[in-house]
Amino acid sequence: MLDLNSTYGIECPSVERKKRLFWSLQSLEQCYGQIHGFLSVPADVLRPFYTANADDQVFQRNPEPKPPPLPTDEIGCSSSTDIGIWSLALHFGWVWSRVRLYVFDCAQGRLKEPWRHDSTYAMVLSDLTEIENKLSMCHRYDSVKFYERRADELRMNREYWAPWLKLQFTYHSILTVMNHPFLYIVASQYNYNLTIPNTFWRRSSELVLLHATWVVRLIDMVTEKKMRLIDPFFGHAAAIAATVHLYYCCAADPRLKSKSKTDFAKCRKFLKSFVSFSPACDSLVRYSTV
Amino acid sequence: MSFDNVKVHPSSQISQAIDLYFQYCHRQPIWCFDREEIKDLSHISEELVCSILTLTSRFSKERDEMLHYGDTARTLVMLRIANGTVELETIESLCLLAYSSFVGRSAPVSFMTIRSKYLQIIRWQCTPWQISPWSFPSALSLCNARP
Repeated sequence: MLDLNSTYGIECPSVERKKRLFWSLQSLEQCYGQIHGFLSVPADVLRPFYTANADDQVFQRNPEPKPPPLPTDEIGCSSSTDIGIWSLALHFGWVWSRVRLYVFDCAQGRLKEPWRHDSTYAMVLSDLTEIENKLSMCHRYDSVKFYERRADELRMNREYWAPWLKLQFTYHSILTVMNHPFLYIVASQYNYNLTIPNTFWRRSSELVLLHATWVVRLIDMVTEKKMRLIDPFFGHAAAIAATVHLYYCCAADPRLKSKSKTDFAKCRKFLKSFVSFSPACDSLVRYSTV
Repeated sequence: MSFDNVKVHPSSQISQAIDLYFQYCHRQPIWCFDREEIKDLSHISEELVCSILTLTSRFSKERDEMLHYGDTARTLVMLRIANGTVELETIESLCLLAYSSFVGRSAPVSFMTIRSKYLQIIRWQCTPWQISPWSFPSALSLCNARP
């Protein structure tokens, strides 16, 4: 069985290939799988795997079945204990899959006030921070200096930069969606508690703008470096950021209004670059016609 | 249809497809094999070759002439299942085909059924008494590609 840890103790020349295959299927499930699909794994089952750190023995003590180990991935790592960039993108992808579930629940009218300590909002942000702590210094934005790299250098090392960009886009998309004003505006129609202005509203409106702007910053860098991305997830991330900028196009502040118009146009242009091969992104472009 | 009468594809087309795969799909997001693991074209299974051609055809100038590879890949996977000769490359083929269908969002229902049956067969063959929670992405879930 590909999906059991016990399989990987056996000597086998293709053991790494099996691990990669298992986790590749998981990565597809995170971004494209159906919510509550027939065989999807509940968050509580996978949380110990994704959030456990080296000092945390709880997961190691847990009985079988355990998921397979992560594949060996040393590109860009500075020490043997660093987790590889592809595996890290997978960790953030797990949080993203929980964000998709959160939006699904919101659409079904199931939303616990996000400021509560046991809300999905609080748990997702907690998991995100736990996983952020697993990100070694060698992979961090300020260390790798993507923006200073030459385009040909990025092209030569796509196997590092593609998952690195996926991780960056995923991180900012998680925080953009979790703080998206549309979620709470809709929810406030059936939950009276959400209609009362409080610090959550203020903080979330600052966070959503910050992270949607980061998505545009990443788009600017990718465009400048002429890095062609194929995974439609990037188009999806751009479309989400575009909705935030569209919202702020109605802001009273003329500077914010003007910036939001520019950022919206950038997101849309980036999304259009996926149209030739992704019918889903083509639909998103057509929805974004204002 | 058997393995012997699959339409032969020119090796230059395969080499080009492998180059496109490593340029646009390798580790972004799927990571199945490294280049040295498939450097010998004569050792790659037919279903994996067809799956690579299917996934990368959208980036090729010969896109329209390559449409049939998807059907061939799915048929070959089915034959593997029917003959009980499933290999690692067969599941890798399914992974590539699944990603291809997500990118193109044109997965026919029959493919989902194949995959669902395949997963069941693997489970029956390996651990009939146990359903692991570390399961593959659901066959049903493949129908609802987002974005």
